[in-house]
Parts: sequence; structure tokens; C-alpha cells
Amino acid sequence: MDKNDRSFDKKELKIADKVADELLIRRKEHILIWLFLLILVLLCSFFPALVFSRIGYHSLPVDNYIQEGKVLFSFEEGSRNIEIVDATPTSDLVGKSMTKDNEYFKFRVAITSKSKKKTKITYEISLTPNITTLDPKYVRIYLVEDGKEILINGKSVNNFSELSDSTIREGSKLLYKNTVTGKINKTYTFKMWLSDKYELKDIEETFSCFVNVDAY
Amino acid sequence: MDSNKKTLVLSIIGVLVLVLVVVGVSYAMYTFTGTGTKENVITTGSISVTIDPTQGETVNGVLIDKQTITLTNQYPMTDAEGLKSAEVLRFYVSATLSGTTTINYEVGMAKDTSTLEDGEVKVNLTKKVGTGSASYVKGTATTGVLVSSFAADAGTLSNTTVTNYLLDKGSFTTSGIVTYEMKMWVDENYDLPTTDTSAGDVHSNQTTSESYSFKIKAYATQAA
Repeated sequence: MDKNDRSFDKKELKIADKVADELLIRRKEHILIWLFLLILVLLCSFFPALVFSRIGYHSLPVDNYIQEGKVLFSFEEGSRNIEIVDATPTSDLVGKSMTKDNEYFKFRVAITSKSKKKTKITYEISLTPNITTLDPKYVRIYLVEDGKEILINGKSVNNFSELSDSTIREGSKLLYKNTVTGKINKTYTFKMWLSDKYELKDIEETFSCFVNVDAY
Repeated sequence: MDSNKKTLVLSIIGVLVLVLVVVGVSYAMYTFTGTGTKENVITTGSISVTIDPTQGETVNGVLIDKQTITLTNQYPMTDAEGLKSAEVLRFYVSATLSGTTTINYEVGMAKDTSTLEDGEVKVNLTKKVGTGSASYVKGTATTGVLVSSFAADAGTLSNTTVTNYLLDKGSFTTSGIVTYEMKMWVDENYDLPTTDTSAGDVHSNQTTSESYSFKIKAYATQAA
């Protein structure tokens, strides 16, 4: 081998070294990028778990213990529901003041949180009709929250048919929607009666519905 | 180099999409659904007005156009004649109740197309609650009243549909039936119009047939 050959090899070696270095650097960069993305994915997966946990159950909890950092949502139905037989056309004045056990339905919505961070939760109360031989336009709807009338469509009393459709529950009507921050414990009284615009017929007609609560 | 960059960019986009999906799914997992289990029910009571099915044309035992009553081909009569010979129209107001609600009702007439006027027709009306004794609502045992005397009478219940020709009011506190018996005749003071049917040497008049038609209707509402 002559001198020129050796210098050519050295040059090649230098270039090769340079390329190898660049490759190594690029590889390091790639590794860093992938590591960053992995951490991002992991954080996004587990972050909601850090904020929300066990959000909601339907019946009264046996154990009220809530772990630190968690939110508890509950919808508790009262023991009595509305069961009005031989209903006759009733004025709103009379309907609002009905107090017999079978003339109203009480339920409770509660949010309990032990998180230092105030959680924003939206909940919707909806009505799902079941039997509708009685035209819903003759069913008057009324809701009270902690003793205070709730205005729906700007009115305290609406026909069932005037309620807007729920966007969460198919086939249901939205009764009331509320967004709250932090803890709440609200008692609702739901009443419904036969509109005084209804004319009694020679056959019975029936309307029935279920009250639901959804939160997100 | 370019292909490496392309691969890197595509990989980053893919991961970001994955992140969005994971966040979305995670977020959707944290919602509450509470479906009610207690059914809230309203069942209406019922009240009906039925005409005596033994009178008039029936189909399967049900009067056709059952609430329309028509007085035709009648001659003017005194009250005594009317009470004695006029056909009895019987109708019932009944309520089906299973609770302790009180229903107030009003029953009236809804006049149909008629050639006779209210001041030319007389009415006598009795009612019997359940199996009790009959009492006079319009007229007495020996007299009738002109329809014109109560034509402007209206019901007083909220949103009542008995806006004139009110016959009677009452209430039910339990399921029951009220039987009404009505007699109707043309007042003796009315001169039946006649048509000249003379022909040639024969001079004659023929009375024109006149009619008075109406429906019976009832309106009921819960007592306040």
C-alpha cells in the first residue's frame, strides 16, 4: 500500500465516523421523541383517573367513605311515586299544591367530593314516557328544587309535550339541566297532573313515565 | 433523510391520534347514568253520557249518532197533553271513579239544525240519582218550560263546554249513574205553518213538517 492509499483510507474513516456520529445523534433524538410521546400517552390516559373515580352509583351507598381525590355522584329515588287513578281535569293551582303521598315523586341528587380541585359536573334530569294512551299534551309537569320552583321554558308548569328532547337519552324529554362545581345535595319534588283542558271520556286513559338522572 | 422525516412525522401524527382516542375513551368512561325504576302514573277517570239504547236505530246495541235527538212531525200540545203523550227520552250520566275524588259535572243541550225555534218547544226534565226517587229539573209534574227560558244558561265549571242550554249540574264522589228523563213537545201556542195544496175545485192546506234537533253533552272536572 502506498501513502496515497493510506490517506484515502483515513479520509474515508473520517467520513464514516462523521456519518456514524450523525446517525447516533439522530437515533438519540428519535429515542427522546419516542420517550416524550410515550410519557404524553401515559399522562393522558391516567390523568382523568386522578380527577374522577367511581363517578356515580344509583342506590344509597352502604359505605359513604370516599377516597381522597375522588368524586361521588348519586341519584336516590324516593320511596313513593306518583300514582293517580281516576284523575280528573285539574287546574295548575290545585296541581301544584297536591300533597298526598301518591301525588308527588321525590328524589335526591348529590355530589360529594374529597378532591381539593373543584370538579365541574353537568347533570340532566329527564323523563322517559312508558304508557301514553293519554295524550302527553294533557299532562302537566312541575318540578321543585329544595322547595323552589324550577322554571322550564320560562314557566313553572309545562305540558309534557312542550319539553325538549333529551340529547343523552333517546325517546326521553329533558326536564332540567344544571352544571355545578363542588359538592351539592339537592332534593327534587316532581309532580304531574291531568290538564284542566282535558275532557273526560267514557274510557280511561293512562300516561306514565320514569325519572332519570345522567351526569357527565 | 426525507423518508426518515416522513416516517417520523407520520409516527407523531399516529401517536397524537392515539392520545386523542385514549383521552376520549377515558373521558367517556367517567359519566353517570341513573335510570329511574319508579314509574309515575296518571290514569284518567271516565264519565259518559249515554242515550237509552232501547230507543232509536241501533247497530250492535249502540245508538247510531247516539247523542242526537230529533223531534219531528209533532203537533202543538198543551202541557197536559205533552206530559201525557210525548215520548220519553232517557239519557244517563255516569262516572267511574275508584278513588276519593269529587267530580263536578254539567249537562246541557247542543242544538243542531232545526226549523223550530227555542220559544216554540217545551221541555220537562226529571232526574234520578242511582236508585233514588226522581225529582224535577225543568218544569213540574204538570208543566213544561220553553227551551228559550234556559237557552242562555251556561255552566260555571272552569273551561266548561256547556256554554248554553244548561240542563243540570251535579257531582259524583264515587262511581255512579244519574238517570234523566226528558219529554219534549211543540208548545200549544205555536201555529204550524201550512202549504196551500189546493187544486182545481179542491181547496186544501197541508201542514209543513218541522223539526228540532239537539245533542246531549256533559262536561266534568275535579272539584278544587
